[in-house]
Amino acid sequence: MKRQKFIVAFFSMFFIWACTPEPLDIEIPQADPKLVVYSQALPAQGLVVALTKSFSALTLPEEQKDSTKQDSINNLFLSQFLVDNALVTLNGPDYNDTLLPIANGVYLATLFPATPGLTYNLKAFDPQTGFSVDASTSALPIVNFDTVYAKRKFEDDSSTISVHYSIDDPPGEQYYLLNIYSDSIPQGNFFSFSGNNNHNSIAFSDREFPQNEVKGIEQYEIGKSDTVVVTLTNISRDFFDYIKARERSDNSFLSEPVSYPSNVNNGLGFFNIHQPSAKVVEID
Amino acid sequence: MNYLPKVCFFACTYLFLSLTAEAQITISGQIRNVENGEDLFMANVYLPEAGLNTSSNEYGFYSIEIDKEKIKAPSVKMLISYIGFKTDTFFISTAESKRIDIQLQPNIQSIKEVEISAESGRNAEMIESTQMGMIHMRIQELKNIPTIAGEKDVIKTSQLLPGISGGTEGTTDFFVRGGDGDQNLVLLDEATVYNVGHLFGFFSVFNSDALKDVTVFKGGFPSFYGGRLSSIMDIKQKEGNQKNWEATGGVGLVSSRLTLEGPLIKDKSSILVSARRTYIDKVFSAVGANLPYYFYDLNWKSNYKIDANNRIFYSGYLGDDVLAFRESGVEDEEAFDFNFGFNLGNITHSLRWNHIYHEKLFSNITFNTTNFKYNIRGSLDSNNLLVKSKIRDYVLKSRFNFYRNEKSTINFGSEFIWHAFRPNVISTSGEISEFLASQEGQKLNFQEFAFYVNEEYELIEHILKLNYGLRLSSASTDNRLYMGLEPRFSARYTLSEVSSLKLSYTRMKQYMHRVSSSTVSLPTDLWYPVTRNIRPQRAYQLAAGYFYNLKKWKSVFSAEVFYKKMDNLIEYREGSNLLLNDQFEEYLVQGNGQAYGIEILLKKDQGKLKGWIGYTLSRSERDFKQLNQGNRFPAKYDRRHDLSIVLSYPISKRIDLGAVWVYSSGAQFTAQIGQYFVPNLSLTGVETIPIYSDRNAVSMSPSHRLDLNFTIKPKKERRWYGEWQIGCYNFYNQATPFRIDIETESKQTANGQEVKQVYKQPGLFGFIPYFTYNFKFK
Repeated sequence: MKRQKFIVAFFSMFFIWACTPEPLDIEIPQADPKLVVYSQALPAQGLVVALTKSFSALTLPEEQKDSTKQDSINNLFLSQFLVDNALVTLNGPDYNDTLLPIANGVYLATLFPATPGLTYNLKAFDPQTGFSVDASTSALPIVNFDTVYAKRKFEDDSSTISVHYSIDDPPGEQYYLLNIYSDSIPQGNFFSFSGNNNHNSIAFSDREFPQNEVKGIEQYEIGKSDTVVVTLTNISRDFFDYIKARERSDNSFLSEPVSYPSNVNNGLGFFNIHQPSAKVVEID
Repeated sequence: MNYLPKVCFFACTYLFLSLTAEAQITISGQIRNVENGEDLFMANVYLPEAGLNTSSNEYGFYSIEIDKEKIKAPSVKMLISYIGFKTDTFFISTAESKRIDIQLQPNIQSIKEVEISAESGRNAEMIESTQMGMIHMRIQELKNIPTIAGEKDVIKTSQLLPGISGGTEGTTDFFVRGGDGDQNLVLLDEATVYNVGHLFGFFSVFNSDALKDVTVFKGGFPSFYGGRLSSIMDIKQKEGNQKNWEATGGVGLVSSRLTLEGPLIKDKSSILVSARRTYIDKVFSAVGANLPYYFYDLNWKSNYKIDANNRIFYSGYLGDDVLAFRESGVEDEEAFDFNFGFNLGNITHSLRWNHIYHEKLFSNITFNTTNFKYNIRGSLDSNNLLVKSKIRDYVLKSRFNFYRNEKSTINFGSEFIWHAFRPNVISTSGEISEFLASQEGQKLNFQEFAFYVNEEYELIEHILKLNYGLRLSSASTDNRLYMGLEPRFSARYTLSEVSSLKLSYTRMKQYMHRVSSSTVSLPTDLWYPVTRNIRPQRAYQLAAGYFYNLKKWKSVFSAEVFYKKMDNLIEYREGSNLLLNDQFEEYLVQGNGQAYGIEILLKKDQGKLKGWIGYTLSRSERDFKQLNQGNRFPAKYDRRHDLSIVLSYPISKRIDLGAVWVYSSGAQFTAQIGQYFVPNLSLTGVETIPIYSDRNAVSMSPSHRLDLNFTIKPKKERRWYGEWQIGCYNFYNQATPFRIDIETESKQTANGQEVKQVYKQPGLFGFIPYFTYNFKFK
């Protein structure tokens, strides 16, 4: 019996060893680098615009070239691709200004009105690379919560809460982005890794809800805090598609790669000026 | 005004007059193998003095009309030939019509060249027939062709033919003349087989010991076939030896098989039962690993000859992939019990009745059912999940062959299919039910109906023959009726005794499609019918070809060009997640496609050296407004060049060598060609976003591979016949790319360690040796 097992094992290992062809190399031309735009309105602060540039798919952080270090992205690597000293302007019927650089790759439009129904144009020029991009988008009215509260989900487990919300949904087709934070909303230096990473983002459409009652419950894992901050942003259909594309992309070999939509001419990313409404909620 | 009664009256009168004409005599009958009673399909019947030629149908029936006024002789010579069999010669009296059933003797002297005294053989039939885009293979031809793990496979062998390419290496998915994977209809004794692969498609469900032959149509589709755009693969099981009991089988590295066949009543009724089981689970168990997976197949067929004009057949197939994994123990001081398993398989039943009404009229009536289902189950402590899906078809088909006269043969018939789908029935309990609710799933029933008629007519004797027909197809679903006319036309123009030109035009419609949650086909993919919003797919195909019978080399050469236009093709929105999602319609998009190319085939199936060389140069493209920014893009398996060389040669009295060398351009891939950083949606971190090329814009590297097989025959033929097959897949261990990855590569250079990211194309299978012992006992 032992001999039989040995023979079977030998042939099995031989069989398995035999099935390892050497992968083939291939060279693929890389995409031309472009400017990447991302923007976010921050309540009581204005509009923050982040500028980076795209790079090769084969670019490797210096740290990863040392096989003993296995960190992926870190601030030093990231900083190579932040676009500093760019000329960024924002124009609209009731606004015309050059954005202030407030951090590496981050620019601020102060006192930005984002008047619902008006269209605003962003232009950015990087003198170092000569890249230039522009984008336009329209402002949407702020939509508020009708009700929002949070409860501990289980009596014997204080770390899981359920956030209950309902929205004062205006008529017509609407799209929303809901964010839940366990502390406070990040303040705009969003290329830093030092912030609180505990968050939950959900994008949805009012068509998903029956009879136009937009309400739901989201589960959230929380630390020792007794409050959460919940924000609701009324977003455009294009931005909703962009968010959904990011959600769908999982890079698995089983799914077709996702091309992200963009409203940035000659560039990448998405320019949006949607204004969130925020609520600080105590946990029952 | 109702024209139907008038049309029926004239058709019946036409039929009656044809049947009662007296200036002609008809010779008809059935052609069978004398050793086992199997029907011989496409056996050639040739009357040299009359210059008449016909071939037997799938049930071995032939009918040939002789014009007595042209012959003016009391008798004519009739030659019956079939590849691998001795040619039979008869002298037929021309006094009256006759029924002559013929039994051909296999030619056992396989080493010597076969002398074909008849002017026609299978090669001649290929020149003479109007049919193009068709390849017929007998299962014996597969015997010496090497395959993965030595498992003979009709589908993998078909992928070696021009115009047919494989998908991911080693799988049973195939793509014909630029079409998609779900555009191929695979029939086993006329029953549809939905899932043709075991173990995620690496082995086909067809046990070659149970099969007789396979016919593949890539174009020039006869009007009795429909329902898919790109190909029909018609596989026939053996009937069972009507003369003697025998057992055949084999023991291989992956599976073993056993077939028993024999007469229930000699020369009247026979039965065949064939079984195959893999022992992957036993092999892993023997080395201490736990992989409780196996698959099995069971084929059966019985037939009964009621009388000279009536015969009934009952056949079926049962196959399953089974996994049953269980693990229990203690982790972090807590006991756990984990179960996971699946069952996935097909069951088919076919009941057929052959009837000869008259020497000129033959019919085949079939009733068959197909049941494809899978269930996936898992449980962890108190959490349970069960997912089930199934398809059930009930089919009634009729097919009539009317051999009107020496110039004309008419085929007509109908087909009715009742499909019942029950996808994604989910049952959950425990905490998991909060994330995945139980659902009953949709119950989808839809019906297809088709009626067809075609005539093959020799317009100019020995010069121009036409085959024209019409198929009317329809599908009723979701309170919507779709109908369509599918004209079929082909023509053969004889250039000389050994060469001809052919032309064909076909229109096909497809009323169901396969929904996949991934870019590769998986056994859990589901079939759905068309709906109000998802319209039937359509294809038009135009083809032309040149055929030459190289008599001296006992080979046939063909060159075919084709153009195929496809409408309402189905794709998925990028990033669609269709797993367990019944609301998939919103993720489907429809668009168009086209494919064109040239196929060259040089085939030799007589003599010591047998085999073929097939080459395809083609292009396949897609046009979808919602994909690739509305720009045209290549199909995923758009391989520019595809070359296959398949050879079989007896290198000694006891050893036959089989070799396959293939070269293929790479498949198309959507590769990552850049990246950038953006803040995440909640501004608490940074995400890396990939930039991709245009859809399918990157061609993977070409691949090539050599497979070898040695068949070692016994010294003497006894009642127990045993032979060894020893061979290998991918002799020189060359990767066939199936995707492109980005990997970190580390190299030692003069300056120290160099680490960089590079593109790599992994292959699935390298050098795989195998050995199999095959036996036959009479």
